[in-house]
Amino acid sequence: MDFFTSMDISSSGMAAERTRMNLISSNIANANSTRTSAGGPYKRKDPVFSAVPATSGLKSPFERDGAMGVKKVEVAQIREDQTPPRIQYDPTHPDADEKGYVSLPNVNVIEEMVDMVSASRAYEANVTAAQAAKSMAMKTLDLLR
Amino acid sequence: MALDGIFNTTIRLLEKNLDLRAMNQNLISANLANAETPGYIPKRLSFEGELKDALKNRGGDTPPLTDPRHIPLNGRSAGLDRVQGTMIEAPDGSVGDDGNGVELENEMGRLAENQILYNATIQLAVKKFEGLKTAIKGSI
Amino acid sequence: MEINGINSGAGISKIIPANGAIGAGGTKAASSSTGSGNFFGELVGKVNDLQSQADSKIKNMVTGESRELHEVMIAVEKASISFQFLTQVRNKALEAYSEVMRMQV
Repeated sequence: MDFFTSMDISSSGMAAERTRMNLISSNIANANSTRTSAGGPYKRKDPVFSAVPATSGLKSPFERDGAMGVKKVEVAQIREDQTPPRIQYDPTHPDADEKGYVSLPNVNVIEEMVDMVSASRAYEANVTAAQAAKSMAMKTLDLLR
Repeated sequence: MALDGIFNTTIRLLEKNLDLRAMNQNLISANLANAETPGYIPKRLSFEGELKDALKNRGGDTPPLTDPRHIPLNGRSAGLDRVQGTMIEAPDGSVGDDGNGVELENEMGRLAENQILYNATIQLAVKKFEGLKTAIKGSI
Repeated sequence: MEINGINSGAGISKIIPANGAIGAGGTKAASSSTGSGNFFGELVGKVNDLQSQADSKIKNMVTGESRELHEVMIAVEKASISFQFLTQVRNKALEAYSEVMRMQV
């Protein structure tokens, strides 16, 4: 039972939330980008988190941490939101199709802001957990003082 | 063995508590890291009831001696050493749409409680060892 | 001038009457409420009480029965201080005893 596993797990959480923040910033910044290198409007991106075992497979299967199955988080993939883009009627726009409709990105800025708050709270929670683990480890050194 | 008699039940209890709380800390960190993972149900370690039972049990689970020359194990501490704690997997509040059961507030509360009790246990262990040192040294 | 024996009642035997009590077969020690021998016995008993109280408070905290951290800390501190007090009293008593033994007759 070591605190380094705990700090490892917390840092994986922080990294995952940071990835999410990056994607949210990218979504917000491109909320109105009608053209991308792949053609078509910008598609909203979302991370997919998955819980993976925190200990390496090299440890003995009877080791408690492995048996407990503590899981850290990693970003399994970044998926593009496939909801159809917003359509707006604007024949003067350079990207308008033949009917005069422009496809705008399927980004809802309000939703992104809410996600951002949630990601930021989760990040702070992970920071607190890492600090708690560190403080406990330092306190353990007091046994020898 | 005379040396074992110095470290009485309380010290063993404190040791075990530290073990279990450190384990719990790992679980709570994992819960916090997976606060947004779909399908994740928070885990925690429940050991307080088991500790209580292990302390009450006197000689009930003393392993039998296979040879009369063997030194009998102190029944109380033998039960104490075997306490492992049970991992409980239960959602904190209601399970969200994506199957995630972690409530940030609950987990933060557990984190704080775990940390405080761990630190308190360390302090108590320090005090106990200091007491032993005073007794051995014969002076403060 | 009379030369009195050591146990003639001048000073020393008043300070450590415990020796006399032990010499009398210990019957006096139980009844006398003064005297360093009994004082020591009582002190050790009290220290032991405090220690076991502290132990049981620790047990309650660990098993989750009580969440009163301050009670545990205060009880442990009391036990520790009283144990240190006991140690010092013992040291001083021993010192006094060796001082007495060192005196030339």
